Amino acid sequence: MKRYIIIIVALFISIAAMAKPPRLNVEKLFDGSYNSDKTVQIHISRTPEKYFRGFTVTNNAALVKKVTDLFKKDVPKAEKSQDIIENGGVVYSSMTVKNNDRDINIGLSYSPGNVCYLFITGPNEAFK
Amino acid sequence: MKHHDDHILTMLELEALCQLHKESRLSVLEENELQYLLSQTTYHSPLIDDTRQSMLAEDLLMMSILRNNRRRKLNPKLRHLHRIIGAVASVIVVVVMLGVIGKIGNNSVGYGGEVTAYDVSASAAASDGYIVIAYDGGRQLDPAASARAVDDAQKRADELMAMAAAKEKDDMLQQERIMKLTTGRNI
Repeated sequence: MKRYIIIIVALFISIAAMAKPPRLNVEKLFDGSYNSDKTVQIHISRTPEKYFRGFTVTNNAALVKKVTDLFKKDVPKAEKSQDIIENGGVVYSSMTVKNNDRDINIGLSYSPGNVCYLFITGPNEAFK
Repeated sequence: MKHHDDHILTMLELEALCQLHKESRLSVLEENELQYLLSQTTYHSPLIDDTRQSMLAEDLLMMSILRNNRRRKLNPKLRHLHRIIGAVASVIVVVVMLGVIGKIGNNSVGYGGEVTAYDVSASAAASDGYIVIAYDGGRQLDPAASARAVDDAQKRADELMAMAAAKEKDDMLQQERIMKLTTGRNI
């Protein structure tokens, strides 16, 4: 009996894992909790062809660190990733995550004064 | 029934029987008889005492086995109940898992998420379901300002992606050059 219950549970977990698109950690930034944050700009655009989201942080070192950490957590899911380093520091990081045979492009750029800009963009099918 | 006592069997004879028991040369009936004799006699010797103890241990083991068998025989009454409990438990587990999976799905972040969406009334393609939302400094922007802000943000993203693509292309060309130099030297 125990064996059958374990098999059923494992079956459901694997079906669930297969059925859901990749949940990116960076998408937590767009759950509405930063809408009223004065140090943040949020841009969301959905057209029939493309789904775009941008998140800009200005003068908030703690939030910049959080954005960086969320980005790094998603890197293992990426098909490819790239860092552009200038003057001894990373100025731009990007990665491409594949879903439904479509590419989700995620970029994170840094500017002086604790400014960072994160964007997630791709065709609508990539987010299904 | 003949009454066995110390006067019928000598100690040597009893020891001989104990030796036969040790060598497993007694039948079941003879063993039962020996067991009876050992319980009725007061003879003591290392062999007799050893046999007496081993027979007692066997007895206790047998009693324990009988007790377990009796317990198993009782289970058929509970077996049906066990099956029902098992089936109910498995259904509960499945329902809980479905609930957890559903909650995980509903807690999805992004993909439009919980941000308030509205169509861009200024856009000619509003009826096609274009969505533009922008927040700046803690407040939501009006449609026209949102459209401009999002447009700028997208342009910035496109520039960054173009820069990254160009850098990647440069790196690849550099690698090819190095490989050509290396293979050229090896020849």
